[in-house]
Amino acid sequence: MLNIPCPHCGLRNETEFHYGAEAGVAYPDPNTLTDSEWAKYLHIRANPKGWLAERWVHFAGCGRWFNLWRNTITHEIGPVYLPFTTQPKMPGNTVQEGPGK
Amino acid sequence: MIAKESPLKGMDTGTAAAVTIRELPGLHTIDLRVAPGTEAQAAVAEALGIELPGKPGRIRAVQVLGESEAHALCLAPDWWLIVGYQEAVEKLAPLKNGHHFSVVDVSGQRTTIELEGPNAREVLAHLWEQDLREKSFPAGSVSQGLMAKAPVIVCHIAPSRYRVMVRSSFALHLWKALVDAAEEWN
Ligand SMILES: [Zn+2]
Repeated sequence: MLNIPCPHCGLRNETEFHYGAEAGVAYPDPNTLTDSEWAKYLHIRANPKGWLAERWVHFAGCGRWFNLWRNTITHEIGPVYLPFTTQPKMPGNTVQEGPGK
Repeated sequence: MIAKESPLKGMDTGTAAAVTIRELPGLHTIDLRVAPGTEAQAAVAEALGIELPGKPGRIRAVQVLGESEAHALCLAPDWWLIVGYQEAVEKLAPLKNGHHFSVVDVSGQRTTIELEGPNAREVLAHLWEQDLREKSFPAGSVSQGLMAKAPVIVCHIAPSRYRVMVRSSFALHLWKALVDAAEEWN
């Protein structure tokens, strides 16, 4: 069970949240893309072993979306930040393998 | 119009020394959404005569003329519930052309279960994973979460007095769970 720090409500149980996959994936202009570029935007993610910036929504609490850094191997949680704000730096490497970001 | 009926009608509330569980049916509730720090928020607060608590998790109690105490619950940075304030919608109506906000009467969505007594906190703690200790959840606090898998709003209204606001369809389930949890304290 993860304890997730909601930027509005504080530390809460994972059961109060839904996962929203990788954060910071820019929405492209669908009119100027080829089919394969569109498919890449829809389906291809970095999926690193190690630190990943993710989206979460606190559905059982404030109902807000926010972003955080999470280590996909250790489940360690790094900086939390709000949408439309600058993404903080990736936390120091405790474990980092694979392509990463 | 269909007459409003309490989802817990006829349940034996019972009283005991350690904890009393009772339903407060039909508490007038409005759902208020307005962007924080805007002119609209200031106008809404002024029309209601309430200072809206600015931080999620806080309750502000206000005396409303001709009614018992009303409460403004801050649930998210732009989201409040105003409980026990019959005239709220009427008072906000004149603002609706000049300002951007949303007010919905949600009195029918939920019912309220009140727990009172020296062991009210212990009874709640059986079913609630959030920290209820004084330093984390003092009187004047509110929190949303899952209680016995039902989405609820828990208010610490006054010392040793808590309110659990629950959707009508979950009310009987939660009532039974709370009465069961209270067993060992009575
Ligand atoms: Zn939250």
